[in-house]
Amino acid sequence: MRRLAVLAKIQLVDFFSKYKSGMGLRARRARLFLYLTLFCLAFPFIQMSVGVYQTFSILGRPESAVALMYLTVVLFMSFTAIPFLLSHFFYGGDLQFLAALPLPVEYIVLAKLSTLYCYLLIINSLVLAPAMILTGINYQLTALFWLLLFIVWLLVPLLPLLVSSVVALGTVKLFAPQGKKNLLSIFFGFGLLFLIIGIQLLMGGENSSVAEAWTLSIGGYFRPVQWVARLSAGSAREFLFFLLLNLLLAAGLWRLIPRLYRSALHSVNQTAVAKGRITYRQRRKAVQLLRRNLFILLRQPVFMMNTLLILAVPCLMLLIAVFTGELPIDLMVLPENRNRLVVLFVTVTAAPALLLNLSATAITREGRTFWETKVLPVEVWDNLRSRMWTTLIVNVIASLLIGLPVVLLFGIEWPVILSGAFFIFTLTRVLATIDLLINLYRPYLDWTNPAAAIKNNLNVLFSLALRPLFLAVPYFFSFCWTALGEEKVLCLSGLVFLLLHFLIFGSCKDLMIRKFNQIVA
Amino acid sequence: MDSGKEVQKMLVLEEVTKSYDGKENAVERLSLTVKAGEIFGFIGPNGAGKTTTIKMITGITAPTSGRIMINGIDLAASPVEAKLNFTYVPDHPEIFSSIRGIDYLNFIADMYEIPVAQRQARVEKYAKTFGLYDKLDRLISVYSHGMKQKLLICGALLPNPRLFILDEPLVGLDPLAAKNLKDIMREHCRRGGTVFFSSHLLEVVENICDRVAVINKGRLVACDRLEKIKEESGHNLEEIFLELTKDA
Repeated sequence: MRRLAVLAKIQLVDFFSKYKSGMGLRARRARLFLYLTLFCLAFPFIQMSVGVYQTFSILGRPESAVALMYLTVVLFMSFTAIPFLLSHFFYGGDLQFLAALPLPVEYIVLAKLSTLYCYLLIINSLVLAPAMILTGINYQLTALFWLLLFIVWLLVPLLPLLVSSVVALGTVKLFAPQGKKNLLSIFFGFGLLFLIIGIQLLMGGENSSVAEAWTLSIGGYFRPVQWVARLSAGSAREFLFFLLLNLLLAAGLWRLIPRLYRSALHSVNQTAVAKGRITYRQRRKAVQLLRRNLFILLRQPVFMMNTLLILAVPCLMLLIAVFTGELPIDLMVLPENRNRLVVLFVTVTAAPALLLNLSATAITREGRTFWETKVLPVEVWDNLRSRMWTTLIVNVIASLLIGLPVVLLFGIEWPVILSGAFFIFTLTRVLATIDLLINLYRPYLDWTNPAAAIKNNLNVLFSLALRPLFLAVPYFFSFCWTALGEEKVLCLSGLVFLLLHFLIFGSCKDLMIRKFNQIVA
Repeated sequence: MDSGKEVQKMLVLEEVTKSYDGKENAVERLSLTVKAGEIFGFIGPNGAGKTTTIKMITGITAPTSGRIMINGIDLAASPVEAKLNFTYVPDHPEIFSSIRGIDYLNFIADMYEIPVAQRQARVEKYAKTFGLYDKLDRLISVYSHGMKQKLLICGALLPNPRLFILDEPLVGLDPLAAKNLKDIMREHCRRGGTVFFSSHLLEVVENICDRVAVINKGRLVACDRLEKIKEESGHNLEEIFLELTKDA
């Protein structure tokens, strides 16, 4: 057992230290930023849980909030656990090393699952616990019930753990032989995104009756929903049922261990199939550099998923807003709403530039292959420009893809399209330059897992923190000169961005080259 | 080589120093000259400064002081022109692995502007020599350590560089590939090219090098023709190496 504890501890330290190392700061500041980031990420979940409790409390059924949040957390944890299992267990880099150690199979699998369990427990604390605590306070529970609720809190991740293990096993069996692990990560990443947006939609204030009906309906088939709800309202009998169920789940998980292990080892040793023909084609250096940057971005599953997911968010938000009637097309196209329509068009189309800070990791993305780019007979400035152009190309394509439906749906006029395009292009350029400058100051090349290159990367946070300043420019123009038309505000803002871009280019070019030369892979 | 005729200097290091922290020197006032057409071995114990020196020669890191000339071109002043004269194979085969082997070779060929006909002939020649040709259509991510090393060597040979720089090139290669590489190095020098390589394998250095430099604690402790060093000391290379680096 001691060896299991040591192994589990190492797995936990390894997992959480990856987050801290991604920050690339000295220990104390890194911790501070980590806590700050965690708090920022945690706050909306806690707010959602408290909000749901308040809604049902007004209706006189606070325990329904626990039921709904229990269902939500089980779904959310199951979807989160699948990609986690795929990347850290089935395709984990250390499995072959662990397999060679004189350890029982159970120890290896349980140590791996313990990291996931802790991760799920954190989610549980954010989503279910607030509603549970508030309901408990509402029913003035005794100390014994608080203890029982604590045990429930500890047991809740078991079901998602089992469900995700079974699903991950099945999908790996289906896809691994074809070497489609990248596809799996992207598929489940999108699944999680849809789930989050769906939950947000369901939790909306006007949809509480739908949410309750949904919970009641599922609760009819899936009794743990009722047990957890009643327990938090002060009924002890349900705890025994819940405990018994979880003992059965634990036994099921235990039986699954040898299969999980065999399947994971099998996946690690899978190789992708050969593809394509050997062809020789000459390309210009600039094109090859651009292709290289795009390949690093689009052929590395973690980078690709990150790019696609960020792009998908504004699209999905817009679609949901249109189809739920929150953004009625017939009202938006009225002449008195022209101002709002322009803001909507520009905001949605500028979303890639504002959210997709690709240049903030342009150097970091290369990791240990960075030496290659320094040895090549290429001017440093050409090398840097190719990175900025990569961002520009991806962002402009994304803006086109997002902007086109808005233009078609809302019938945006040509002057707005043209001034908006100018605004977005100049905004993207200046942001790409600033982001690259940030990354040149803080490159992080020593990562082993690509996820570490983007997760909790402080460059990304810095770059996002700067975004509101740029949004202030059009607000400033429209606030100071209210008589200015929307097109003129966009053109003037675009000119400011262009000026800023040339200013940064002019003053920082030598600095950027010097910083690039100082980076040692 | 020492016939009195002026031999072209392919690589010149003048008083090169490198300090990472501003306190301790990883390489200290290192000066050496590698002439065109020779195979130059660079040896030293672990942590002696071999890789740092090679990183400075290849432009991966800049020297704190001193000058590096490649084929008469100052690396700091004209990096692109200088880099067009050499190619480099690192001791670790870390390359962007989400592309196919052939894509990597085409990328390198484009960087050195090699025409299609020439690149095809050279890719076929070197990839077949190293038994890699049939695997060029696969993603690099599925290559083994040795295969990646072979791909890097093929890529470095593609531009037919004047100066071929290799850091521990034989690590990870199977015996046949190691023999082929040594043959290629000799052939490259016969055709007027220059090879600069570091190695821990003293036997290899002894067999194929025209001249050898020994570095210890960032300083050059010996640099001459192997026969001359051996003649003067009366020992073989291993004994000389151990004697020169005994305080490492």
